[in-house]
Amino acid sequence: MNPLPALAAAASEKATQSGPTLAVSDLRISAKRDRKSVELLRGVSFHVASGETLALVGESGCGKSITSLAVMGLLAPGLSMSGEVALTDAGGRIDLVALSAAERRKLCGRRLGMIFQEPMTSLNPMQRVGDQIAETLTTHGICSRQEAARRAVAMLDRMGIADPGRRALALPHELSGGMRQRVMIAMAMIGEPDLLIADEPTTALDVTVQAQILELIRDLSRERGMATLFISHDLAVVADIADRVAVMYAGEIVETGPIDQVLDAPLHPYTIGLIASRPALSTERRARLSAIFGAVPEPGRRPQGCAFHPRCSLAKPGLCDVGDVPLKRFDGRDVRCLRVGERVQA
Amino acid sequence: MSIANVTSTSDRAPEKVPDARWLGLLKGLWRHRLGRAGCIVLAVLVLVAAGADWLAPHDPTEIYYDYILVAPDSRFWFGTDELGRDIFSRVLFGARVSLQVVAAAVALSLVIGAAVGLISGYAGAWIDNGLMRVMDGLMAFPALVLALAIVAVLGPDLLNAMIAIAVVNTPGFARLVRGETLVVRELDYVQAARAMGASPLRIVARHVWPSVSGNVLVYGSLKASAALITESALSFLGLGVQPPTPSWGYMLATGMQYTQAWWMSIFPGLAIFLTVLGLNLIGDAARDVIDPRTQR
Ligand SMILES: Nc1ncnc2c1ncn2[C@@H]1O[C@H](COP(=O)(O)OP(=O)(O)OP(=O)(O)O)[C@@H](O)[C@H]1O
Ligand SMILES: [Mg+2]
Repeated sequence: MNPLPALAAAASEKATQSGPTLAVSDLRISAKRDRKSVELLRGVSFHVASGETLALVGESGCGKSITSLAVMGLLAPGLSMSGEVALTDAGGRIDLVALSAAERRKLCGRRLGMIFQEPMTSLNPMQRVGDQIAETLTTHGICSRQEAARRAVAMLDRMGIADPGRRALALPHELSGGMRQRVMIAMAMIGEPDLLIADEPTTALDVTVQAQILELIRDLSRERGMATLFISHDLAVVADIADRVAVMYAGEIVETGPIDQVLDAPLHPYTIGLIASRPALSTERRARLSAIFGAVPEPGRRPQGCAFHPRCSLAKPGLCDVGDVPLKRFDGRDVRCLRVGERVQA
Repeated sequence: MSIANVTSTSDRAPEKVPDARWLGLLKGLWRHRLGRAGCIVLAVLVLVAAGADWLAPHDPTEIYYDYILVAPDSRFWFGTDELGRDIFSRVLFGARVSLQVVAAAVALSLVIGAAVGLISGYAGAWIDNGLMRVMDGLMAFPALVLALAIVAVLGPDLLNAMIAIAVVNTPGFARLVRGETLVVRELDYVQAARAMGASPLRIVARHVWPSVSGNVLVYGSLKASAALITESALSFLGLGVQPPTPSWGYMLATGMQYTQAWWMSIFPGLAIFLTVLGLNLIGDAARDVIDPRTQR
């Protein structure tokens, strides 16, 4: 059943448990604009093992959502992609790029689950939420309708919704934002996926509800041993939930490593800026609270050299504005900055 | 999965829910004030059409030679026409013809048009292009001219008039449904359905169609009134119902030639007006009911 035991063993060594691992390597996505091809994602690589949560963090427009949609196979038809996306477990390796539409549909909902950003619009306004949760099960013919309905109610119960039997009969507009997001999570979880993608699941919610939802996602991903890809534009949000973090800027990962290291001692100037602009995270240096000046370059208007150099106070002419900057291993992390070594001493 | 410990509340798990939508729509229409009025008007018309045999005081085709162009009185409630036939009876029987043609024609064009629109809008690409070229071709002709041409080819009778009206109305449904489908297929909840592995067919059936069907019904009830008018025109031109079978359109058209006998045109005209009114009331109410966000 397993033609490459050595490879599988290597993979499970990396994973905390021997469950499935998502590996994305050199993912590139481009769009056609005015008959020119514009690169939106410039070679993104990461992996998430089962039981582990990787946070993908970056400003609006840096390519977080298209990364997750590429993994789900839901990219808009106008976008083209290259690179590898694979789900590996003890049973072998599934190449998610090579799948036919029908094969992919079998995986979506059962092995890949996704929570969307907008709980207000991601539920069908005309269907009872119980039916929508049960739909994953009935779509895949996992169980009978009655059984699916029963499991949907049980799932709502697990989501911490009081009186789940009655709530299952509600239409989305009869529920609060937090409750709708719980419904969305139930929808993603009911198929017991190996990989959960949460694309800014709390952005639309107020702070207290946000904390509850984060806790719920964290508990569920621990409980089920899922690999979790958690997307956010907010480092504070991911501090509690993630094991590792990948910071993205203009379609590239600029820094990736264990969450505590990155938060405590960020290396890339962009990460430093992100943290400094969050008062809650930089308690000691609250006085130096600052925003990053300038704006993210539009795709297609990417500057030469390091994409961040026009906004970077450490940028050195003749060094940072020429050539491509590779990801370099430094202090247990990967960082895309040419001055990373120098700066630590300076 | 922790499904073993299902709480007792789950005994009320939703089981009767699917397909309750149409029943819900009817209930909603009934609760809607104007919708109820429209339902009553249409129900009366349907009853009249169905019971014309018992309700009509005279045979609608019987000619009373001594009673030509008699004004309404106690024997001929709506008067008689130029051949001495009872207009009241003819209006009752005319309901049968008109409602049949309109219902069948609109249902046919709705089904075909919606299917074309859903396929076109959801599949996109060359399928969309091909189907829409055909619809554009049909739309290029004025409706009545196209209907005339179709009946001329197929031969004048009731069934062919119905087919012609259906063909004429199909592109409108197709365009409406396609346009709405293009919007709905990009919505977040459709994307969410894809993410759970739903097939295109399932997405169209469970998410796209229910989202567009409300507007289709509204449009359908308006088209039904247009179809009634087209049917009248075809019958008037002798291309629809063949005399002596009564049809409102035919009666109205003939009546207009006898201006002094106002009853000849006013009663079939009133019947058409009432039907159109009822259909439009239902259409507007359906729009309110089908959108849960405007529900009171
Ligand atoms: N279908 C598309 N066609 C063309 N460009 C697209 C398309 N979808 C996204 N983009 C572009 O790709 C870039 C990345 O978009 P993406 O949605 O991944 O950003 P994001 O990081 O998720 O931002 P946000 O935090 O606002 O959700 C943006 O510049 C966006 O304009
Ligand atoms: Mg996004």
